[in-house]
Amino acid sequence: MIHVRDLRVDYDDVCAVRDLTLDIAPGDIYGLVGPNGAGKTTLLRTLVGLKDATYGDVFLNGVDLALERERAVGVVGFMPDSAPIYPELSVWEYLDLFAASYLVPAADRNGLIDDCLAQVDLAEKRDALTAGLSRGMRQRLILAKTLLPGPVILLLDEPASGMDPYGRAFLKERLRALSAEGKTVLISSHILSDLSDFCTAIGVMEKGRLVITGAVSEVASRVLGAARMWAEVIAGDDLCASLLANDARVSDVRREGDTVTFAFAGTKTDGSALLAALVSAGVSLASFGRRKEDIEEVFLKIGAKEVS
Amino acid sequence: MLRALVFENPLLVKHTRARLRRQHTLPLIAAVVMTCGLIMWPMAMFAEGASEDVAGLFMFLLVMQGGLLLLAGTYRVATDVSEAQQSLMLDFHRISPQKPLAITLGFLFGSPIREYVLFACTLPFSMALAYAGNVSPLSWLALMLALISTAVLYHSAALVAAIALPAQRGSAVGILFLAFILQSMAVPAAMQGIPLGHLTVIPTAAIALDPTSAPDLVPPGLSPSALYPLLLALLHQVPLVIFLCIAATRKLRDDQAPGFAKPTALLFYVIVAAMLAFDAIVRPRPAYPSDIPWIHFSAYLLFGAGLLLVLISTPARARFAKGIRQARKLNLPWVPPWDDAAVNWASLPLFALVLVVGVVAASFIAGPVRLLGTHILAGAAIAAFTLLYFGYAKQVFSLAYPKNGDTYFGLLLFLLWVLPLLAGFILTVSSDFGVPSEEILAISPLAGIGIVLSDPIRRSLPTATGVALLASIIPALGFAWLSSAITRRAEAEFQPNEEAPTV
Repeated sequence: MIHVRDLRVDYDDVCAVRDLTLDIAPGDIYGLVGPNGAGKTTLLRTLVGLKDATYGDVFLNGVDLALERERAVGVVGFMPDSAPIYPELSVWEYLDLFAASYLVPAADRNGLIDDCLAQVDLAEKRDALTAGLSRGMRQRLILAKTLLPGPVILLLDEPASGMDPYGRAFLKERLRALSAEGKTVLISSHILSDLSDFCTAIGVMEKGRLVITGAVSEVASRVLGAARMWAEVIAGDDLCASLLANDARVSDVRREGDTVTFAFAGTKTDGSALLAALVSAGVSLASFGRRKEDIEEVFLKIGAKEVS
Repeated sequence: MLRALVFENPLLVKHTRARLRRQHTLPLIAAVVMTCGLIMWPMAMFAEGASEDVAGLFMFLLVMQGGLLLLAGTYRVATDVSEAQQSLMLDFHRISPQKPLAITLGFLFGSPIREYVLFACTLPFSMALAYAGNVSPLSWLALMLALISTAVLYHSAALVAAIALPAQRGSAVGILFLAFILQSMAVPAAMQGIPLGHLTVIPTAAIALDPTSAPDLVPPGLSPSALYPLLLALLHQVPLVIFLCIAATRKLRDDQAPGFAKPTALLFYVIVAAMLAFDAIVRPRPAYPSDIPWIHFSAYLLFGAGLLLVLISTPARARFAKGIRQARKLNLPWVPPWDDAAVNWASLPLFALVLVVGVVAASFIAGPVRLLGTHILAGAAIAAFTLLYFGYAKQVFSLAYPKNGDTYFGLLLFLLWVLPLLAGFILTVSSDFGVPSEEILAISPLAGIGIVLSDPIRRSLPTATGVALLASIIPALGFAWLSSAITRRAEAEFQPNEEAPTV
């Protein structure tokens, strides 16, 4: 859906994006993380045609951005970091402006606008002036504007900034729903805990380079090493410890009260087999699981230059 | 096409909705109507046939109409576009399938829509005053059209300034200041035979209100109709509006692009030169004491326009680098010389050529035979060589010093243009105006061009002409060589980065 090859983007004497290659499949929610100035916003602006690439290829839904800009950008919805509004317009008028800009026939606009407002839970603000909306509501209005032309690719730059917890939860649900509809979502965010909840893949940018990319679990395992697991033992903790110590995939076993934690260099299936082995050996377990991949830890580790 | 650009233009609809809300517009309409009524009120006290007094009231209303369209309208366009630019709203419009020209027209005619409506409310009063004041219907119509076309010109300039100077909310004030200067200078300039008034409403107003002023504004043999200055105003304003719209549309398509592509900038320059030549033909000559102001005006106008266009079409280092990398990726031996990213090596001589031809043509057409001479050619050559070194130096500093290039370039201009002026002035003042310091002043083209063009009157300054020529030719040759060397070095420097991505 989004294919980027050897992309380079320059500002004056600064290379903002350097030799970036990226593939995002339909239905993926791809999280782009990186410190300020890493090139995330420049990448998004380039993908939507607002910034010219110095060189490199960008294909959006199979259309070459350099050759057919209008057609390529036509399938993209872009939500910038700021939430630009015309304060003198009402919510409906604002959406009508962009529906007309996206060449939606006048007869279809009302229904489409109402549908988009319902999608972002702003239907009751239909006739309110945009100037009176809170920051979170403005973000939702911009999301509605982004959804208006029915894009198949969504590029969202810090969409949750300024949103309250309800707004964030709502955004996550919406993005999951959009992904389920087959839309591709590329989201850049500093709120890393948000991303780990629903991103199917992430990429970390630093100084214009995409230093690592892949599925969240894959990236976490590459950066953080073996996954950390835990077993909460009711009975048979010595047996549990000895079984774990004899497994070649297990290392760094620690006992913290009733809970045994350990590094596990196996797949999820291997983890399931280990659980079965422990239970069949007579270890009584209250809970057993793999710690959730923590994008924040990945990001901090990369930021600390621990990944080459 | 016309439907998308005008009748169903989303930005026009947006501005109509936002700026014509009843609760805001009706009180303003009431205020305008009451003011117009107040202006008309003294008419009831005038004796019958006091048409001169009524014409005074008409003039008063005209100033108010000008304030609405020229001042308030221009300010509104500039602030609307500046705000849209700063809030990144323009980006939303840029990525929509809307044509950039539709966005341009949407802001140009949509932003000041309230001012147009208020202006429309003044028309019945203006018409009544014109009737009572013996202003013919044709003159009245010509005057209103001139007002509207001048407003569109200022609005276009404000639009471009606001897009090109996104961080400057003061672009509105700047344009208004320029408009004010133009309006104030129009009459004194006209008395010297300089047609600045074509960019204002003043010549049309002068003939509409007082046909006896025609000898200064209409060539002998033509009837003193306000249609003539209106026609001249349109001939000058329409091309400017078209080129300003081209620049705005280009910037709305790609905010990083220069306002004009090199060929467009050259075409615009040719048109400015042609307009000057045209003015030289049509200006009513007998009334003026001398043709020297006209010759100076032509030379400095073309020189100034040339500097601006060269500045616009000279690529910064980043754009140049991008051009080189793109050319290499496409296996092109070099960046095409008309490309935005190409250095100005090839386009500069063309600008210089247009400058020389334009100055010489405008001077030779306008000047009496006794004024024709080598000083015109020398003055034009000095302007052209200065334009050349200005462009080459700008290119050198932008390629060689990406961070401080503009500062160094400014310093160069201070050394070559401002310092000699200051030195000459100080020398003249300190010698109690006894020592002629033209030779020092002539080092600066700002004074040198004028000094050389005035030669036939002074008849005593061959040294100053020589100094001015040398002060323009030597830097032109030097910076041409430097520009070529720096360009070659930069071309070698910017290689496509073929490193494998670190993914």
